[in-house]
Amino acid sequence: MNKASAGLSLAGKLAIHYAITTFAVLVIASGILYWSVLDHLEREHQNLLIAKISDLKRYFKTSSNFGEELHELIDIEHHHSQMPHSSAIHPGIPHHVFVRILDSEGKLILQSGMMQPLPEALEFPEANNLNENIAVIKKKSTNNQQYLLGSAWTLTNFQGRPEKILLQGMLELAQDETLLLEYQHTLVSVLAFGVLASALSGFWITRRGLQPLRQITNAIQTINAQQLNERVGSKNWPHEIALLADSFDQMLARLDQSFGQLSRFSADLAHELRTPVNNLMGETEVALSRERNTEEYCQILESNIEECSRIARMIDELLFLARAEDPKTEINCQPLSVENEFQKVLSFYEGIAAEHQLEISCKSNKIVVYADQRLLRQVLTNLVSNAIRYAPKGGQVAMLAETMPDQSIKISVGDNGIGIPQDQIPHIFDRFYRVDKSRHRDTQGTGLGLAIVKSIMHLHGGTVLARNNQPQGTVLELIFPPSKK
Amino acid sequence: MRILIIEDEEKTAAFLSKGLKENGFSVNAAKNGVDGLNALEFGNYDLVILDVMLPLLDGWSVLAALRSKDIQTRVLLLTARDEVDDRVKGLELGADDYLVKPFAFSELLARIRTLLRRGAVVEQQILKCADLEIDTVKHRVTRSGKRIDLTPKELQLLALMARRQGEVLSRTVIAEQVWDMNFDSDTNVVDVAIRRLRNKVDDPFEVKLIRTVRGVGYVFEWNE
Repeated sequence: MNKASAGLSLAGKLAIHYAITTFAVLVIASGILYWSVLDHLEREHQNLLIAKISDLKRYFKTSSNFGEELHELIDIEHHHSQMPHSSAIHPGIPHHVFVRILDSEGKLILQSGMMQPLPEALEFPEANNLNENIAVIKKKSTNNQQYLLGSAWTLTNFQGRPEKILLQGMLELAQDETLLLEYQHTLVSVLAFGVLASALSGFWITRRGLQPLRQITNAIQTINAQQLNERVGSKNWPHEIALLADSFDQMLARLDQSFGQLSRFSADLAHELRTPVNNLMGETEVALSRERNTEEYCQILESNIEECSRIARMIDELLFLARAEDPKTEINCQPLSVENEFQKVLSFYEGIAAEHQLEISCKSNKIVVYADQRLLRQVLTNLVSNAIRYAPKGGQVAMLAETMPDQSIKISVGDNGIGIPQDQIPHIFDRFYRVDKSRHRDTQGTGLGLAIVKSIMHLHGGTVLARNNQPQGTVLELIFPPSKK
Repeated sequence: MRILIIEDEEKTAAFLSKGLKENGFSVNAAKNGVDGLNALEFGNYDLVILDVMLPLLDGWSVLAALRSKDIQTRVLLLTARDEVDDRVKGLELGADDYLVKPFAFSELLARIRTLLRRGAVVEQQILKCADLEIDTVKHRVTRSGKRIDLTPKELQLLALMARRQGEVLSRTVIAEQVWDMNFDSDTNVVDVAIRRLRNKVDDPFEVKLIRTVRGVGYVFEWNE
């Protein structure tokens, strides 16, 4: 689409389309009409001419009288100038047929009164010898007059003996031309009016039809970043616009949610950073306010490095999350034996499990999963470490891999700990979300662990779900999609 | 061993210098790329710690100039940017290793030692430290002639520390070397594992071999 038509309003474009369509339809319709009128007229004229000559033929079949009766038949008396201009009174009703009768040598016997002005250039068609057929031809004279000419032979008694005579008929078509010209003019005006009318009405109808679009535009224009909770779909829109309004509302809802998440996230981030930074500043300041012994300095430095590590880890994890959201991020997937990975995780946690008197079990069902090894380990240690944190002393943590009916692979990590309240389950994958606010800083966790699990699963095209375990505790399920080998 | 630090951030350069000197290296520092490159051309350095963001001439250019002059000093890149592309670029330009800020000093030290040791690693089958003897092939550990039973991972941990005696190993390095967990994992696990190892290896004996470096990690050393 070029710039000019892109700049045109929708109403303008539609009006032009309407006009073009109307033009085409009218041109075709009037063409057909004109052609049929033309065709009809021509056939009428031909019939008229043929009828006249046939009349004469019939006349000569029964009579050989060249007297009064025949004179009447071929209109000898009237002169051309006296002829009533019939077409002027009844347009389209055919006119007078002029006739002349010649003998076999071509000598004129008799002719209609108005036959004299026949232009000499015209020639009658050659008549078939005594045949029933009447030869008809359409000719144009030198002065551009159209004539229909017909001729036929017939036998009669002439001056006492049988004689072949030639009957010639002529029909002037001048009046038809005027009629058709008038008809053409009418058609052109109808065409012009029709096109104009359809363009205007098209423009008006479109403008009226697009009224809701303008209204919805106005409604949308009033919404800015501070009013993302506003919706436009409540009004009684026409069906098509209602769909648009609905989609727009859904987009607003998503934006609103993202905006909310983003601002909550920024607030959380500031808060999460503020705490360790505050500790660092405070401890150091207090430490420097008076002389202390080496042991005290060491303790303070140790505590400081702990806070620093926490900040560093948080930065790492936030960068990881940010990178995982980039659709260009690629991971290095390969077929991995789940049993191997379970054993790695088991050996990593064997010490802690023994200290907590926990039993960590695993059942891999010899499943092979298509995943990034480093990321899979990160997810598993994350979940197991959570499970260990929540499992009671002497409790159990179970890792299990299963193939689902749709060939996807489910790896679940469950514990028999205190579980998570049902209403908090949807939030546990949010950044910085903590189920028990009072346990805020009990461990070295940054509150990003499950958010990372979620984004790692997202990178694999999979999902992670949490549900309550039976009879108690929590199960986290990783769903890996079927591998696309 | 001579190390050159090219780093414009004074505090960073200062703590790196101090830390490396205390660990027995001879250290010089340059504050921008041009000075650094000059120093590298004429000083005989074993390793350079190169910051990427530098005034006058950035780290990439220093590295490229260095390699084009066929100076094969080992290069450890330091950067605050952690993009995969950057990593690849650094290694393609001929860097030997790559470390992202913020890093633990112990981690840096470990990387430097690995780089300087590169090519000369001979894994001994039997490690002897004080009265401890580790046979890594037969999976036998004895101390003062007494047999100590260790799990495979405990033995791996002990062997790692014994091989790198005197070096402070951070929890991250230990998790990576012993359990293959090369990401910031639950480092609590390392503390528990060390505690359990000490129970068996150190607690029953007079001389302690595993020392905690507070806030940093663990080191294998002993006083005669």
